[in-house]
Amino acid sequence: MLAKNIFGYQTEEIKTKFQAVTEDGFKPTLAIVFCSVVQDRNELIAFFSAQNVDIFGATTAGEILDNEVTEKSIVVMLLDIKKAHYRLLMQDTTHSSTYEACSNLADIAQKTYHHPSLIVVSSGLTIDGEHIVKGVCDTAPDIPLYGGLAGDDLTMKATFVFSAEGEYSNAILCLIIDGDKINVQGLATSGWDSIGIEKTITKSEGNVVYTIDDEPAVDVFIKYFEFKGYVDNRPEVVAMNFAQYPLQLTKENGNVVLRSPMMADGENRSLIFGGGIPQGSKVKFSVPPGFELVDNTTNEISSLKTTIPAADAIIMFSCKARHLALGPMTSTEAEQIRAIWDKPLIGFFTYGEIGHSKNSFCDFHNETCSMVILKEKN
Amino acid sequence: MEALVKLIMKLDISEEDRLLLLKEIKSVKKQLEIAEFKYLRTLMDKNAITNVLNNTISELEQKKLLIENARNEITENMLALDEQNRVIAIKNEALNKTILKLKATQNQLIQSEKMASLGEVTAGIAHEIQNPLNFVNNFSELSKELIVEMNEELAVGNWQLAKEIAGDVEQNLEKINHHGKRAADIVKGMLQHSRTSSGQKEPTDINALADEYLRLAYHGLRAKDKSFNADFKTDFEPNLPKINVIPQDIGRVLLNLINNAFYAVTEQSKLFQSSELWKSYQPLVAVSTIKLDDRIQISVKDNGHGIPPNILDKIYHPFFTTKPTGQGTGLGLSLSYDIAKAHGGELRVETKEGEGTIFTIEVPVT
Repeated sequence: MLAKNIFGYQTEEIKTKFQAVTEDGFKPTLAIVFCSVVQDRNELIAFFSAQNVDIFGATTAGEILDNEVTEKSIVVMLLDIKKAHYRLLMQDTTHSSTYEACSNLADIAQKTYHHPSLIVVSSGLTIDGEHIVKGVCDTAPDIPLYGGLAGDDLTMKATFVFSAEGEYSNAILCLIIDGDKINVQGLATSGWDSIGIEKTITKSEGNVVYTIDDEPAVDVFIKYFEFKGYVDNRPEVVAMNFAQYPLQLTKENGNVVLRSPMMADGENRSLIFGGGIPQGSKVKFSVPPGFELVDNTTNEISSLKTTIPAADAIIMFSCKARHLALGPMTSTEAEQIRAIWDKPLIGFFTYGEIGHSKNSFCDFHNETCSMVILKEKN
Repeated sequence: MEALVKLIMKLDISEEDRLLLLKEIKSVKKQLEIAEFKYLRTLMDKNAITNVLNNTISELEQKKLLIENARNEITENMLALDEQNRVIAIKNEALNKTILKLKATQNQLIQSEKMASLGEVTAGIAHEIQNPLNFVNNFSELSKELIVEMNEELAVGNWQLAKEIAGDVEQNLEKINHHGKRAADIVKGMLQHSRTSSGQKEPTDINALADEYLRLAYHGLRAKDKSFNADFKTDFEPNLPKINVIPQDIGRVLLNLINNAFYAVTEQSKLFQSSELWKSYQPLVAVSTIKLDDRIQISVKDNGHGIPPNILDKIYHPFFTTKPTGQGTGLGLSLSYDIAKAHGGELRVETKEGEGTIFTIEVPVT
């Protein structure tokens, strides 16, 4: 399986580069497209459909292609994967629950292949990524599951996923891969350190936290970080400033996950997190790791080489908060990870990641870098 | 940086060198960016971590304060408790003294109860002693006469007859000795009864004990009150084994029950005196023993007036009595009940008003 990456700030640029990379007879069947919300997705859909290329697309909070990290751009990975080895499914969740939709996806996946692997991207700002994991894992606990939540450059207005069927602001786009034909491996790494004393979530509903130790959630963050720039009804301000300081949550099954505050409700002073935090759970604040994080992440992901020594393509779902915390070093990170297998890498900065970290089950995360490595079997 | 790039473009160098220079400049630019970012982020994180730690410290200090307050409160409570304990200890001491006093009083009461019951049987004892004393007196006088006779026969040299008389005297002396011992036994029994219980259990013939106290009680009442008229009968199990009891204690129980029974039939007689029923009423106290599997049952039955239901639950209460003032201590049944319990046995009552009462003591054989 061959993978070729193309990059552009305009659709025209993509069209031109597509012609260039297919001149040698390369016949891609699938395009993985990650782009900023400023880009016209429908134009991209029309173009790739005209080329008879399937699309697995999501909007982002920053794009990653090979060694480069960009914003407001379009990144595309073209794959000549056999049509029989994958299946694309769009599940609109406007009128159904995320859990049901994902349960349905898992069911279809099991019926399509003996050993399916799932890569999902999801749109919807208020979606609880936890429901995606639960929906899939309750139906098919053994299916490998990876992915990320689409972004919108931190404007917090709307995120989208798109395929040949069109673009959706409340949907889950799923790439089902035949695991017997293509080896799919992945790992999510974090590195954030907890700080301070344990706190109790005294009132919450799904991913909305109302009070921490009986104090309004927004006030707790403002107090603890002595943040002076808080402006009511400016949710993006919260995401920009607090996302790097997520809550560390130890779940009932022992998984430790991070939950980033995404938006604030100025009226009831609650915080909407990137994932569910059950009422009564114990949390700690956490702070970004030191700059050695880049090397640590690379080392941890290198360990995947034992299960997948060679690769055809690499997909990276990296939390937007990591981008904020690592700044220009995110490109160094991408560069180092790409160098492990020395193959094309595509990715984007997400509002939440799905994958399993070392020694734990698949889960929904914030603040992680969730990698997926693909290799066609002989 | 842009100016630098423009400058390089103007330089008269080979294209290869120009590209190399531009690449180097790009790399330096990125390193500068990273350094600047690291500086800013370090600054930001430093602030954030300092703030979180400061807040955590003040929160911990607040918690510490709360814990200290709680500890102080606990200490105060403990002091208050100590004070309460001290007061309680003083009260306890006072209570203990009172209990000791009460115990002493109780012992005195038990002793007076013994003496009271002794008083009731004194007349019986006197009667019992009178019999052997009569024998002793009669036989000693008879022996005195016989010795006079014997001396006369010896004086006339009638040895054979003198020897025969001496034989009679010897027999008489044996009888005197026998009756003297009997009197001594009765006195010994009386002393035992009044003595504080030694608490020593010993194998005891219950039939003999019951018989002795029945007769003591009967004769005692007869001696005290000439008009006293009642029958008694016994129905003893013939092969009753000896059982291990404190004989004085069980004796006192029996004496109490028998005295009560005689008192009940006497009261009934008095009640019937004015009516026609007097002629047909036969006052009777019956004492019986019976052996069950592993227990011995002693019953004292009377055909007296019975115990009214409204006082039945009070009869074992200390100081409860229906007898006129001065005639009963109210401790008899209470002590009897305690003695039966102390022997691992029990004291039961069956009664029917107007028909009579049966008190039963059950004591285990072993």
